[in-house]
Amino acid sequence: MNLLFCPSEKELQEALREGRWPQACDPELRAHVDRCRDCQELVLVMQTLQKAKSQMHLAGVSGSPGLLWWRGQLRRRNEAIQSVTEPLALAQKAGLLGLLVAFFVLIWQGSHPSDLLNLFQSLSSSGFSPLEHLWALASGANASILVLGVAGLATLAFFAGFAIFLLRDES
Amino acid sequence: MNHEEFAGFYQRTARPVWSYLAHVSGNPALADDLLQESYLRFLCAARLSDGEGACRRYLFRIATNLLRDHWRRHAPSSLEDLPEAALGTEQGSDIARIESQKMLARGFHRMSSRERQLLWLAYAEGATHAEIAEITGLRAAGIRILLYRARRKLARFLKQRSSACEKRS
Repeated sequence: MNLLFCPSEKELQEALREGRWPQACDPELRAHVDRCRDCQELVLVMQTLQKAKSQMHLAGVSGSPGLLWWRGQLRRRNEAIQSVTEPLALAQKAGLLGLLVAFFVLIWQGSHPSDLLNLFQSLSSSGFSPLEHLWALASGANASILVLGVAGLATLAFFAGFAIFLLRDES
Repeated sequence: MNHEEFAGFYQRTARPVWSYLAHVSGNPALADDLLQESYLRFLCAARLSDGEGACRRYLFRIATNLLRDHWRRHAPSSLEDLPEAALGTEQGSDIARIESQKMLARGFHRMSSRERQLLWLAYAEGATHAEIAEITGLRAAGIRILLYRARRKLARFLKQRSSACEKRS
């Protein structure tokens, strides 16, 4: 590395930064810079940039810290609100999507009511007695089954959305 | 960080950050906008109790990312494609009124955005290689050689310009 980079570079940088260059620094360093092209370039570039920086500091910077502070507080609050409402909106969308799916399934099943009845029958025969009870109540009329189906799927969609909300909130 | 602490932090850091943005972008108006946005993002971040040095580096990092985002969104993607007048070297800005600033702006005009960032952070801000790596997202091990090349490039340009000026006078 030393073949590429001059070992006096660091010392020279410190002298330039602290304003010791050229008068107040080590005479050996001055003698070295006279011989070293890399250090001469460092002096040229660093003095140019330091000068540019000091001249920039004379120019005013627009903006008040008080205003920025309050804008920052407002943005923080908005971000906090957004972080809460975003998962809620997502849950809402998931619920809505579930309802739409349920709606289309029911329309489709409406054209084949016997399939839906068979589905409920198979579920009731699996041993779940409340469902069997519901099936017994609903078997007389297709409309009641449709209402029950929509209500069940909507509840499922709501809980799915709520679960997503809880998961997002936790993460 | 409360309101008073932030006001003090702003007083100490606003000009260095603005100078960095103005020199690297070459556009003082853009520097104004990005400075405001940098502080707003800084205030929204939950890292305000890390100490002044860390906050300062974090602020420079935000400013660097905003510059990068700006170049990604807006064509031209870097100063190489901008007309030199857009750098404020011809008229209007404070930079243009000073001959050495003009020369630096022209030199920066010929350099890549990364070279400008490295040069300003290292030699104007006095940042260490590790700090530059933290601010720019580059690998610390590669900073030294990149900086060396950028410095050589700018030094050559400055030498050429000053010798040309001497010949003219």
